[in-house]
Amino acid sequence: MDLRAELQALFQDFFEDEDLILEDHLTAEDIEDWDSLAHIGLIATIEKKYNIKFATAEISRLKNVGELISLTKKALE
Amino acid sequence: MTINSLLFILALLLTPFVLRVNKPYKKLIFLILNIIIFILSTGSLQSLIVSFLFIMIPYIYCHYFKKKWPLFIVLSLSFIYFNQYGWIFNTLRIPMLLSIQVFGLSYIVFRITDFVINYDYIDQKKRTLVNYLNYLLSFYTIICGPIMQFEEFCDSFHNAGKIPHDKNDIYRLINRIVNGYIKVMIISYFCYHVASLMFDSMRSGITLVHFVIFAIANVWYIYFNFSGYCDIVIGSGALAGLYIPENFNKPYLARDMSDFWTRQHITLTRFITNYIFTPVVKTMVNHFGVERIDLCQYVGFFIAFFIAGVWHGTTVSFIYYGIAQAIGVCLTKFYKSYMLKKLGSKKAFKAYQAKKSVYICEVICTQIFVYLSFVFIVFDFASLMF
Repeated sequence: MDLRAELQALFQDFFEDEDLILEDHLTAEDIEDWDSLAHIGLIATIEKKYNIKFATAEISRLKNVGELISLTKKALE
Repeated sequence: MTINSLLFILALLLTPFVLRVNKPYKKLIFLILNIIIFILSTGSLQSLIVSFLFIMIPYIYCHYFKKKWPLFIVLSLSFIYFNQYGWIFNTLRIPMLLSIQVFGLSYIVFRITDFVINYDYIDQKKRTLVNYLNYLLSFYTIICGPIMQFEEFCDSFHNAGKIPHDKNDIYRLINRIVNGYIKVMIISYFCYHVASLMFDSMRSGITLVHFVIFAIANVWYIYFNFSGYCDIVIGSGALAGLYIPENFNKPYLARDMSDFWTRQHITLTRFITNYIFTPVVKTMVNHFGVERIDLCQYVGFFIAFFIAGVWHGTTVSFIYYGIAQAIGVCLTKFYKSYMLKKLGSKKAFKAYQAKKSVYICEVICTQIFVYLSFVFIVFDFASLMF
């Protein structure tokens, strides 16, 4: 499974929404329960799953799902 | 320098003509203007030298060192020292020595923090000393914000396409500036005097009528003064082609305290969320597990609002104010999770929230909470209580 598909499964599980499709332009405003707390939970879940760490600046600069996927990919390299 | 001082008004009138000229040297002209205003607003040569060091040390430090925490410790201690927090000095029995004032210290600290945290991720071309100084010393936002992010400021400054040329746009912006001055100089002035009168009369004993009028006038003073100020700087900034983010979005229509803080002092909320709440809660979640995130958020709220309270002012009243805000946001979260449980599903909760009567009740409750919790700022209400 590629990273996007893995993250999509993670998002679906986290937001309890099996229909959720990850697209690059998606933002927190597009997903109903994606508030600042959910954002922290999501980031912490990704960090734990891949055993990576994001910096505060990296998290605050994220603008959409596309950037989150790229950031995760970069951290895994 | 204040919003109605001649120096500020002159700068407001002059800057649109300077910045509308889209030449490479415009940032240098803006810098000279900012430095002149900063020097004129700084009390003494001693304060000026200290201010210079306070501003320059983080810039030089970032260039040479990777670890940022030693700088943040020095910055925080300097902020406490320059602002002269009586309750800290008195508790620790440290004599308050030299009185050194850094003009715009509170907002400069926020901007330095943003710059330092993001330093490694900012495009090198943007990290110039001129951009850094303009960002920190911009006369538009140095007195009272809004709190811009470094890159937001750079992008805005160099985006000449945003300069309004249409007559209607220019009139609209001038209208906003005039409205801002009316809010600050007439409405908030009136509210302040009513609140002040009530506060003085409560010195001999707190009565319900005096307290209610005081609490309402105090809140409306804060709102009209601050939002009026924002109208002036956002409007005049836009005339010069400089985008300054909105700081208010009808806060008194908020239906809970969590909603309120996404509408009031929006840029402060963004700053606190990004640089205090998120790192604190994430650290706790990493330690205790994602399943305990709800518990972690409550601790995060108290830490974030405590810091916000301390930043707002130097007396103990501001700590009560911060704690009261944290309690308000925690109560919101308790209420939401209780209702969600009681109603059984998100869909039912949504339908409940869609009712007009529920909306009105929630707005009124939020307003009452704001009136009660805001008594701790502007006037030292804690001194009347204890």
